[in-house]
Amino acid sequence: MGDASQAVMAIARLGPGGVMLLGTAFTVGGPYLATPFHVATADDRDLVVVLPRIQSLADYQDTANPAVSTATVRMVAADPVRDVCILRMDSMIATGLPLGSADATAVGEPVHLFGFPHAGSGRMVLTQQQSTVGARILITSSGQKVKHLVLNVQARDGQSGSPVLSAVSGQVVAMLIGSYAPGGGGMAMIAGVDPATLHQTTHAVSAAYITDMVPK
Amino acid sequence: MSMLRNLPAEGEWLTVLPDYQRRIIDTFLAAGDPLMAAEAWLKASGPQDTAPFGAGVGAGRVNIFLLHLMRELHKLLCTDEGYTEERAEVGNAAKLGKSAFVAAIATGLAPHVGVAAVILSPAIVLIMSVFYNAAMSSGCEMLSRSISDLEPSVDLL
Repeated sequence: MGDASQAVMAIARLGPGGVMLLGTAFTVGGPYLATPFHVATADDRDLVVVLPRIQSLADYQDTANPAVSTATVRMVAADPVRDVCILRMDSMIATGLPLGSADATAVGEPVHLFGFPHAGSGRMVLTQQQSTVGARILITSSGQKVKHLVLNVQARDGQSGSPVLSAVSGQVVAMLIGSYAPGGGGMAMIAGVDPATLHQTTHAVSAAYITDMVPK
Repeated sequence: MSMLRNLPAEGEWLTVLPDYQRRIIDTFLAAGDPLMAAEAWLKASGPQDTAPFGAGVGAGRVNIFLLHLMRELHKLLCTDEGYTEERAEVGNAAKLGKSAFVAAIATGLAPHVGVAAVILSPAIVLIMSVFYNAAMSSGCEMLSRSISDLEPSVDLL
């Protein structure tokens, strides 16, 4: 599995208090990045990507260093039903991660995830996780069936947008968007944590939807 | 409303949308009328039974009100109130066809409703498919009536 340190970036919004981290995005070729719609939200004003701060995942990431460089992005494609959007960087282009599909991913297949867990607490550490595909599911959204992979791993806030790379094909087969929670969770919060999400049933939407949305 | 006299009559409104959006809107239209489809699009917020792992305050749930969009669209297309520059852009875009027209409306309204243009476009297309006609004066009247119908009947303040 290659090093994704230059292809996976944190999404943030610029505000009076500085840079507020929102989640994870990854390059899909040219000036485009993919991230969940709920990360960018419907308003793309003041939206930026934080440019990579390391050369390789082997580098030590200084958690006390707040310095960041950002690039402005704007939303050029959005699918709130599948919870996917495509952002365009105005000032740079990047090599994209190869896109695949949940359709070509077997249950039990090993996968790698790259994202920014605990970004809601201001932590910005690009983190790799290993897991396996636990199931392929159809989940309802606005009355429509959406293809997801269930990943046998626990995820946290900030990891939405993490690319899920198959260890077999090397392609992004899905994008992490959250975890199973009846009714969407949020019924009870303890110290900012939703207990309904503390398990290893993580949902990732098929990358096939991303392929359909990237401007040609 | 003279700007709309330049708008080509031919062509379906939905063809303005990219394929991935048109397929979604088609399924919404199979279940309801265009305004219901617009509302379903604007209220879509990802799959059920999934807790999103965005890190932002209030991340995960977006609810854009159709009524708010219709009010601003009426203001832009049917009145002289505000939107001076945007109205001129829309007028110029109307000469180029429906795609440019919708894009100009979406881009013009986006900062006023706090929603990215790419999200507004399908809803604008659906609204226009109901209210657009070459004369437009009757379309504006219909739009105005629909807005009145959607207004809350009780002032909660």
